[in-house]
Amino acid sequence: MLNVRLRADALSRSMDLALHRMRVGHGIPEAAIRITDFINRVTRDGFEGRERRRVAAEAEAVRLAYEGRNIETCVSRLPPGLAVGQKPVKIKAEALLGGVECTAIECTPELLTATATQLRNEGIKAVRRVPIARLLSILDLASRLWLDPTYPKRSLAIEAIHRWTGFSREMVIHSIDLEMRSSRKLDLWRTLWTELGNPRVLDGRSWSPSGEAPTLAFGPSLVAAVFSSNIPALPHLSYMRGLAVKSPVLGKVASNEPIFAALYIDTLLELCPELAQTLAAVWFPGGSAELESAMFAQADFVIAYGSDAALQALGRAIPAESRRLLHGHRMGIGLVDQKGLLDPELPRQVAYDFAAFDGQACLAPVVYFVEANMEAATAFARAVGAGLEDHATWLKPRTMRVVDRAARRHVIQRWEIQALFGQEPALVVEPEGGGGKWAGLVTSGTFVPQPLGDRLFHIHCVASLDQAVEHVRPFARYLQNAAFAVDSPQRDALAAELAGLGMSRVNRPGCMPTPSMMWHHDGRLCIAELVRWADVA
Amino acid sequence: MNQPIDIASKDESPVPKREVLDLIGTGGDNARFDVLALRLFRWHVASIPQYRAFCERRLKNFDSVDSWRKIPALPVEAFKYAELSAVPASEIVRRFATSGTTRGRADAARPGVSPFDVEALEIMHAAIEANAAKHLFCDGVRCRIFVLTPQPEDAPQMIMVNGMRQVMSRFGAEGSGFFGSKQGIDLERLMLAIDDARKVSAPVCLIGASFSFVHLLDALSAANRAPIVLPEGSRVMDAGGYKGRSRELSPHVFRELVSRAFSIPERYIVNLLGMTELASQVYDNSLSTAGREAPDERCKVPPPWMRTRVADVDDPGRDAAPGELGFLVHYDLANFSRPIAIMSDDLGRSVGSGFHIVSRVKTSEPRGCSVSVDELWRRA
Repeated sequence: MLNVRLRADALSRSMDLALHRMRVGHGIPEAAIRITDFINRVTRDGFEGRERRRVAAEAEAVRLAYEGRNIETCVSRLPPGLAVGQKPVKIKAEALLGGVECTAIECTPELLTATATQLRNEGIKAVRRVPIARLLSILDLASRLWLDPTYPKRSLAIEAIHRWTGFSREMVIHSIDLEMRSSRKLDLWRTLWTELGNPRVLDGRSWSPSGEAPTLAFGPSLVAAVFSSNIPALPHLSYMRGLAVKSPVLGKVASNEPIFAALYIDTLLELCPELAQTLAAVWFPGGSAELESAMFAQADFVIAYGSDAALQALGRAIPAESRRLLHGHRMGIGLVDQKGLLDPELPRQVAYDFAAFDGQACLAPVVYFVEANMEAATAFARAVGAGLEDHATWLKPRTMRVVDRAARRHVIQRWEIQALFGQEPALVVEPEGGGGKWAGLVTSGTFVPQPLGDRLFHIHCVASLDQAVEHVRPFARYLQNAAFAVDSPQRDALAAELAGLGMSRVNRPGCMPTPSMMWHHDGRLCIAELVRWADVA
Repeated sequence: MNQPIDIASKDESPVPKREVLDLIGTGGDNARFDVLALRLFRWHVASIPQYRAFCERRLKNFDSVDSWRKIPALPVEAFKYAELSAVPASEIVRRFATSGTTRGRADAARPGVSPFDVEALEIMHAAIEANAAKHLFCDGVRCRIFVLTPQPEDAPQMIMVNGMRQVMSRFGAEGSGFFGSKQGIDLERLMLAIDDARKVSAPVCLIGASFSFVHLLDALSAANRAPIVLPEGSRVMDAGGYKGRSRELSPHVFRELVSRAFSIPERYIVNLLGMTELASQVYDNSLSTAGREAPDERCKVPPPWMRTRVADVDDPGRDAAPGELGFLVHYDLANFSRPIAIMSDDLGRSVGSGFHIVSRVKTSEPRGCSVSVDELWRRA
């Protein structure tokens, strides 16, 4: 009986996965878009309803499971032997909601050097012995486990990350779902085929599809990764990419979200114990040049996420000859033309873009430009507000520290003053009866980017969308993600123009936070950039 | 949309300055404060169109404002957009600049302005004197006042310098003076003046911006001059914070360093909260309660013609829970012809009979890896 139920659950998860992929456009050939659009329309309510019920039920189950229990977790994972006798220290950050204590093995330059050496010498041998097909299966299996609501590590991560970061359980669940759903075997194989031609070049001498000389490809001998804290569960990406090119990965977790990396490593080691020498997670306080140097000294590839200033500081510790992928702050934008504005679904989709990850992702929009006058844009903004309220019923807002709440209120206050006293048109929309659950700024004229996040949003009116391009031109180096509700052929022209400025992704409203894990982040290849080639005739 | 405020039936005539001066002179009580606050409020709503527009957005009903606590508090940001005064522009005689600008939008790319007419200046000066007498010179000691800022003539837009001159001319003994310039502190001249005072054991009062004390401490230790033993009864008053012009010290560390450098007890080191948008200042109570057997915990105590409310960060109309961090909202009757309720960018909490300032509100912080607004402008 139980067996039947489990199978039914697995089947329904597979169905949700397929629908989800269709909705966010993962792996959908261009020619099939119209068909999937049709299926989307028919299944939307059912799919979203199911999602909402599932997330709510799981959040409640997790809450009950951990009610009254304190969570203690060590966030470090070192290769066997190195952790012996090391004493754990408390991480220098406070759990926002309390009830979880994170410890880490105290890092010294010597320990980091020993870890890097171990990974580089032993870890690489271990991982290169595993055929790529098996590695991808392991990664796929890990994703499947992490999508399973009965997987204990998933529940633990949801509760611990919720308590530590203040993100709602629902948002953590949604985050893990989004990431793991696009980290499946199909995604991995497809990315490897696309970027490398033939994934088996990682196993040994193989022919490329074009029939040129056989080649070998090698991942870096050590990938060092510095994680950020803004999206729950994101560290899995760097481990996944490292393993997909058969490289050891040494990750440094963020003080503000130290929990996920170690749990994900545990999953991978459960599935493939041979990788024990290959994967490590460490924590040390940021800004320590000596420790950073020790971490990077032996890495021939560094992946890091953070602010411009943080990345600049990190950059100094990276050896000159090491290659690097540094992902800094970015600015997402949305464009809506007159016809797009008429779509009754649009406000809720736009609201989702602003609400996802509480606006903390680099993918989050800074503004939606709409081809409309102030009046129409204000009506649209109210509808977006209603959409935010609707999404807040299932993706509950995070709990914030009082200083952050003050900063948020201060932003709304500045908008109010600007709207009342400024000479250029500006208007603040807020929920009827106040309460501050969400707030939107509607402007026209000069475009000034606003500090958003936490259900604040900005709509800027333009007479034509060409103006929007001019508005963002000064900020070109920050462009990354865009959502278009624009009719072709203008859509193609605008996309080409913005892409020329530096934008690297165009999707539909409602899909801004949901790229595939194998997308061209900041316009870069995610696998091919890591590898080194050897032509063996 | 809210109903327009009906103020026709209310007394909206200008409030005679005498009434505010009386309150400053005598201290007054809660009832008088409330009556005067509401009268000033009605006058301002009637005479300052921008403030009126702000109140219309905030209030459903004008009659609901039945105590000073309910007067809508104008964020300091507003001073960057408009000259806010209940008297005609032709009567404005002094304009002080507020710090910071709002970037980007063409209509607000300038520092804020705080306008004063003759009566408002008179009231401000009365407030400055009454306040300094109570909190800085409560022991009646007459000090040589050494001010670390430039001469008022060299900084006519700085309200702090104006206030320091006022304090010096009213309370300073012979030998007082300004020791700053645009280049910084004139250390040699200051040291001579201090040596002079020490010879005759005349107490000294050092007054300056918090950051200029950091510069002074650095200069003294670089010149190997610290510590200096100032004559008994000497004191220090710092104001204005650091504004990125020196390294930042916590109040506790600031007092420890200054106390050591000048050999004066910590309670003789008094911090003052002053804002260009306010006519009154708020002093630490450390000196005014020093003589008591059980001095109060150090905090800032508003003078009797001023109230400070700690406002809830989510709903600033409500008070923050006791001891909770909130926005500091000041109600300053000495603001006279300018709006009296000002919402500051300071976060603090209420303590005893006063409040603590904890920090400035974070502005344009990076939000996750979504780019920070500051970063955008730096690079644009």
